Amino acid sequence: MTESRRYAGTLGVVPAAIGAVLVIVTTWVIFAWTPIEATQGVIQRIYYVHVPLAWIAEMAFAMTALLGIMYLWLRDDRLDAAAVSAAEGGVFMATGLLIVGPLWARVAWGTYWTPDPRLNFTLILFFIFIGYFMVRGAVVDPDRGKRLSAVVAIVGALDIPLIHMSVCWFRSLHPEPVVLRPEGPQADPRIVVTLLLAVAAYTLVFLGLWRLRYLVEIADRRILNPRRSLAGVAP
Amino acid sequence: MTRPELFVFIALSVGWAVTGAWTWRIARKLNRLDASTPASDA
Repeated sequence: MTESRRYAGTLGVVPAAIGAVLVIVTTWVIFAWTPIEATQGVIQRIYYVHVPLAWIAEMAFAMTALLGIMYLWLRDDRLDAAAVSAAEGGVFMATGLLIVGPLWARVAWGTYWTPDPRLNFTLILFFIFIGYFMVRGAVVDPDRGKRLSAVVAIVGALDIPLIHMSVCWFRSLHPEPVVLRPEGPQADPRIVVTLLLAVAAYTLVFLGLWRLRYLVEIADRRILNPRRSLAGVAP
Repeated sequence: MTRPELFVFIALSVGWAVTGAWTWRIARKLNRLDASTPASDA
């Protein structure tokens, strides 16, 4: 392995490792320092994994759409590799989100799932990004698959603002934001600090793994299809 | 352990599980790549 490749990999491993350590620290902070929320009690602690997973899933899908736009414009294979890497991470995080959310809902609302606008829009986003991979796999010509999946990602990303605004626009069981409010955070400062720590930790893990996934994708394409490749392109 | 405590434990584990699952997938792809890369290129 060349020095440049080793360095490129380090740029992924270091943030992921720091993020993983921060996730451990956050778990300790949740139980040792952060107060139990007065209204909901212990179950509110799901917040510190629910919000980071939601944030990363939406960020990943927004990144996929932006990279998709750039791919359609520039037709640079690296942009598609970055997009598919982000989409894969987004699907993993959204899967976690769709497991964690219903657990909280069962205790808070008495049901695992209810046809609430934010829940439905989130599920739709998840299915759209499953479709992103299905489109890529269904098309014989890989370049056509890349173009079509970029379009799917762009259309799917239109769902992200709907997820955010749905709690304001529609009658919803899902609570409105308590931190990102124009008037400032509504929660106890320790709850806000813990949440920000959790979001930072998971974001670092995601960005590190995204970088590694991108490098693997690029190497994979070089080996599978060396003629059309990215030969000579630094990762 | 009450149900809310159990659900919090499961939720925190899910956070680790999805991160671990993605890491495992990347590592598996990397292993496959290493196996298919000629020794001279490594």
